Amino acid sequence: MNYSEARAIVEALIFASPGPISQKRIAELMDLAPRTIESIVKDIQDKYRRDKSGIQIVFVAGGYEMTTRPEFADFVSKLNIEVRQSLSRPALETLAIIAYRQPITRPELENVRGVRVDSVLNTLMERRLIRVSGRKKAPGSPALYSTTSTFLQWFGLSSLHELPPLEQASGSLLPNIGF
Amino acid sequence: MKDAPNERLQPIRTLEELARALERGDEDPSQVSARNALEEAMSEIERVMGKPDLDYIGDFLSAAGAVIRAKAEKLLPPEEHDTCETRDTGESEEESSLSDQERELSNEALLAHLMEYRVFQDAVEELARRDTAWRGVFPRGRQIEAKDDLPLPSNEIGLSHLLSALKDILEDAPREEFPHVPQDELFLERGMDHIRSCIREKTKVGFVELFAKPVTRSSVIGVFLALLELIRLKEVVVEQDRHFGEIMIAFVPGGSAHELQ
Repeated sequence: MNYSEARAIVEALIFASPGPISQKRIAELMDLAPRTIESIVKDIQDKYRRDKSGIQIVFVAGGYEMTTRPEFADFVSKLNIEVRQSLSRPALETLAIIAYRQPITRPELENVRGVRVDSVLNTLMERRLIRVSGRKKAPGSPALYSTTSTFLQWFGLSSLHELPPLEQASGSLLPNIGF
Repeated sequence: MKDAPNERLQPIRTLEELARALERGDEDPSQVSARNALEEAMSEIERVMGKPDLDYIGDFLSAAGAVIRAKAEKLLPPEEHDTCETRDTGESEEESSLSDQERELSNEALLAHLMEYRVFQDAVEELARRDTAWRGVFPRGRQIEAKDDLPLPSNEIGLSHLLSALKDILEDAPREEFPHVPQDELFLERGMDHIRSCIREKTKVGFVELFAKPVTRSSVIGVFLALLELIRLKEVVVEQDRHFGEIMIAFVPGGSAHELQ
């Protein structure tokens, strides 16, 4: 397979994939090195940019995904495509705490926010932005909540490490994911 | 207290004396059953008076409240302001400084908590910014859903899709001089039977095929109403295997009509 053929196949795989497809998966399917795939994807991205294309390839939730460009959102949304609702402030606050301190229990969340979070947690679960990732070994075995890959896609994050570091946070209070 | 014969006042006086005894410490509060005392007083009142008047009930409640308050004050821990008063009136230095230390620790914890909350606010701003920015990015394959979906048994097709398909069929149907859509149940039943038999023949039937030729506008509307009725009865589902694909009608899997098929 020559380079232009490989580039076309990578483009086809990303196009046909129902969700983000990882570099490793493409490499396996094409029997190529992951670094080669990275280089090919970059090449396709540059081509789309040069051509001022309406679509783009983004790296979210650990994989490549083909999306429309944000500047055409007004036109695309006229297609009756489901446009997701913005998250409320309480939902964003709860989500931010879970993202940085996961896995975390409901009482721990309520301790930081100072209010009950039951209904917010339900909303976030319904939208599949969080999930129950386990049970804490504590009296009552409270559920532990973590973010999902939908969370990464929702905010266009490639991984949790792309979250900005928390400024001035006292280390002892934020022990879990190395920020 | 209003004027009343001594006998009538006796139960209330008994309660007042009990309250005073509890306040003085003459009675052990843990051994006094306020409930029994109040029930005894109430029985006595009923015996003497029959049905007590409202003024008398007020006096009874006041005395009953005094008993309960006196017992509660002896048994429950003192309130916060009582502790402060005690300190002002000669508590030891050691105890006083310990409380200050505790208060300081509590303030530190509160400050740390507020700082932590503040730190997360920055993260919230970042997430809010990303939330807005990525709302306008549509990944390939995002579900297209009608905004005016009717709660039909099928998740795929909404009323708007069906109406749109109906409009196409009506446009092709010849106009009648005096169009008339019969509203009687028999007409609806005939339409429903027609749809059922179409589905039985092929398992699934295309929406357009339901309207067998020759068609008139009134017969089209009649069959359409029958279809809506079957959907309402959860007898059939309306499906579309791909966007803009053909609308297909089938029996609800596991439904009575499906089993008869």
